[in-house]
Amino acid sequence: MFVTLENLTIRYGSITAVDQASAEFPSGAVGLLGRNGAGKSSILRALLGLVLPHAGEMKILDFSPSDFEESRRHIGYMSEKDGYIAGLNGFEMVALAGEITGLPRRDAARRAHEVLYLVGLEEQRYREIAGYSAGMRQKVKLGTALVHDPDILFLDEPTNGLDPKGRKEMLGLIDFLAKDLGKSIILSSHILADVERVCHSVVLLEKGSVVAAGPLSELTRHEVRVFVVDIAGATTSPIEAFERHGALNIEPSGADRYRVTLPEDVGASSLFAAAVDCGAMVHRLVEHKRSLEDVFLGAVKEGIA
Amino acid sequence: MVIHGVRYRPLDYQPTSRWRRGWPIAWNEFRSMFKMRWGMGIFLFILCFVPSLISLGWQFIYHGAYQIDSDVPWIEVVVGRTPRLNPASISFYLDPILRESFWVFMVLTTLVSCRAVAKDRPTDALEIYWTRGISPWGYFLAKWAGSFLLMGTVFIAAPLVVWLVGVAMASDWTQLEDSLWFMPRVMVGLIFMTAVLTYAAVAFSAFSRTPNRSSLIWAFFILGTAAAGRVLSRVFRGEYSWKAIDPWDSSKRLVEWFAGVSPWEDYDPTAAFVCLGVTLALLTIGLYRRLRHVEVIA
Repeated sequence: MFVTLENLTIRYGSITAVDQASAEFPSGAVGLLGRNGAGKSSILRALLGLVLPHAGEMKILDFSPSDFEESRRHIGYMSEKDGYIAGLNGFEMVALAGEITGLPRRDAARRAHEVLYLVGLEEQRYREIAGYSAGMRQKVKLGTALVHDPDILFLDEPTNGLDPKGRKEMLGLIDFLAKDLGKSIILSSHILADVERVCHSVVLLEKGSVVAAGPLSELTRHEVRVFVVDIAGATTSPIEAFERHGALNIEPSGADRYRVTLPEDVGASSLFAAAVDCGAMVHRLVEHKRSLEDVFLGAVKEGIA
Repeated sequence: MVIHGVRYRPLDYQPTSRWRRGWPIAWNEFRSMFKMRWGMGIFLFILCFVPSLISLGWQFIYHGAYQIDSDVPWIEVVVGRTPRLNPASISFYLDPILRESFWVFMVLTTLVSCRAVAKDRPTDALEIYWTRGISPWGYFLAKWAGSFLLMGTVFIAAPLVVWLVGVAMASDWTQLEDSLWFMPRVMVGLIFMTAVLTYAAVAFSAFSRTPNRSSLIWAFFILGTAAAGRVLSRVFRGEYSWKAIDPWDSSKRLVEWFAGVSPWEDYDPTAAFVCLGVTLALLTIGLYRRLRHVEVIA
């Protein structure tokens, strides 16, 4: 685990942004998911030592965020804000960020070239940042996060304001950093598809509380199988036929269309058998896979309840 | 053939000390004067040296590098009538700074010092600085050091160079002997003044949301206190201590006090100390509120 939270509570005056959140972030890319205002950025800021938690504990590797000098050497932070240092070009800003973090001047300069090459800004590195596009600014922000070769990256909404091509490039980079360079990443986002694309685990937040957490494969795994079946020419009740063949739940969803839930150990062949039983023909059969969106919506619904 | 590889590689480094981490911020601040559009900053910076350049020119004339054919020893006559033109006098080094450089102080502080922190707020740069290996106070001190360096080149280095050139050009050691007793005190005074005024200007910049607003408030503060000090000293019939509410005036008087110059007005340095001390204390208390990590979120 590269980050551990235990009963973390963060308050801004009378507003509770994070309420007794406990979670563990295993190595690799982990998504921190939640709607706007769910408390994602507050958790990252607390981990960076920008916000003092009201209660609870946090650990980054073996460090406490209060030991900011040591912990920040191991953390690269890419903010959701569109921050830049006025008057500097891309290379100067990344090198300056490296020097402030503790890199010697020569190393910082060499490193700035390397990371700007990595993020694809090698041609534009001597242009003033004020004139960069949104995509280029996101890349230079990623460059400043990477300049000191941190073990951990906190990426707060890294695809904000990017066009589809830029988004694809950014997600590709994050994937490369996690898989090829072995960085541990917390990807904070409200875009489920981004998290699904690059993360192996997620922590779901709703109103400051952790409502679900774990590996994506487990969270999206069905204990049941759901099929959408289109049939035609039934002579008897198809619902009764499906029930006879082990269906747990049957929901008619339009003319001759049924949403059928089967136990995990019952195969799709039982649906064909049920169709034969009621004298019908199967026109279409689609298994409905559980997506992260279903998990998220389900968790949010439970959280509200 | 690969001449210079730029591929991402794992990095192994020994982190630099806190002081070295602050240096790039200070250097960047110093350079900001020279990055203004159309070379405006460079032009103004050169203009700031005019009083010292005039003194330097006079050193050349005084020591005979530039000869004027005349039967009358005119230099002695001029120096006799205007003692402050004597390179062996304190006034020769202090006056170009204290009497003729108020506008230099205004230009440098308004364009650089009092924008130092304020310019990082609209661009959210504070988050970049404060989420790295430097504390908010470390960041502030680095900004102050950059401003000090910039103003110090005009207010400290320039008079020192003028003095060293004069000493080197003199035909004997008389000028050195005559000026050695006061020059270290002049330097201490000027360092104190530069440090205090740049601290105040950079502190002002920490309270504003935009650099332009910060410049405006600073200009109003300096010109306002100067005007109020003059008005009050007249209202109270020559009670010149009222002028101490103006930070420029009070630090100027303290430099003279450090250097051992007798005051040309009935002026008590205690008032200058108190006013400057109260101003700095209030600014520092304000800074404790403005230099918190949580400011990044605000």
